Amino acid sequence: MLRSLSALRGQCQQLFRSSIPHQSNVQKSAQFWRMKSTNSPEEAARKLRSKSTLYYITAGGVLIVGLSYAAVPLYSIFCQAYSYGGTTSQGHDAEKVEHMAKVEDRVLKIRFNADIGSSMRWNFKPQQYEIKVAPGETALAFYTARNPTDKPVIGISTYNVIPFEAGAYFNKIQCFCFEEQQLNPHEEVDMPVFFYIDPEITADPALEFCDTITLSYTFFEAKEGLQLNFPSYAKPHAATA
Amino acid sequence: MTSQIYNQKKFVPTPPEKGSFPLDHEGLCKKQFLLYASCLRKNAQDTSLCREDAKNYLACRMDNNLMEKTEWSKLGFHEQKPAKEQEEKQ
Repeated sequence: MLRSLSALRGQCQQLFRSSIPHQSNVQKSAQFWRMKSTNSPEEAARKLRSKSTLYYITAGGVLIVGLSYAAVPLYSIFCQAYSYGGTTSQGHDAEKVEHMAKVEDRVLKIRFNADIGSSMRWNFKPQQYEIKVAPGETALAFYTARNPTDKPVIGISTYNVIPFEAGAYFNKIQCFCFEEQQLNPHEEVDMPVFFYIDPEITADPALEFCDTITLSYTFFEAKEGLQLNFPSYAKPHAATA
Repeated sequence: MTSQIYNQKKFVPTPPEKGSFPLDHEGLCKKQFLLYASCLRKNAQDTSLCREDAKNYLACRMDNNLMEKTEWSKLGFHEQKPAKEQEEKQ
């Protein structure tokens, strides 16, 4: 029984070996060398072309990546130079206040909003809910802040203007933002905001139907490591004219 | 901050032209402030009619060293005489 099985196995193996094409060693090496290209001129030219194409494509890829990195500062320079997309170029002209004319037929309502940071212990509110202002005319508004605690608290504020497009025309002559203000215990102060709306707002099509502008101030407690969205050119102390 | 949302233009706050008002700790100009506030309330929050009181408040600030002294024309307070003359003519 076992002998017949082993004989059957031997026969199967022989059959299997004979079915595979048998290569000699010489044939194998010849095949191998044929796969490597010969040094005929057509082959060399083809190789050169494909290599240079590869280099061009790689260089093109590197150029595109470099351009996308360079686009960021270039774009900001372009925007600042041409005031594109709402970015204002440099500060507002201080001489403008002297020569601007009041726009009679347009009256804007300015609403006031007051906020405090979550850990800020002042009571901060606007004195008037809204005022009516004509563009080109300077206006005065007040906020009131009170320190109900027993310790002096130093606050610092930032502001925001809604709608966004109107922020470019909202020029403050003097206010109380971006500078540390200290309130002694149980002290209450009035904080004025002296501002004007640029008369060029009438020429802006995006603000044609805008008649309400909201000015929102937020007070934070001045602590170390507090990062507010200050412009880089914010003056640290009360500036001279 | 909400300004970190993509595709939204960032609001860049600009510093005030003349800097920051020093705080009126002693309440030296409280009277002028109250006059201005009551004028606003009387005139339905119209600032054009309360420019005199605003001017008085700023004058008080300047006198008490709480604001830098500048000419009124630089603050937008122009002489009212030409307007009044025009009104009289009409």
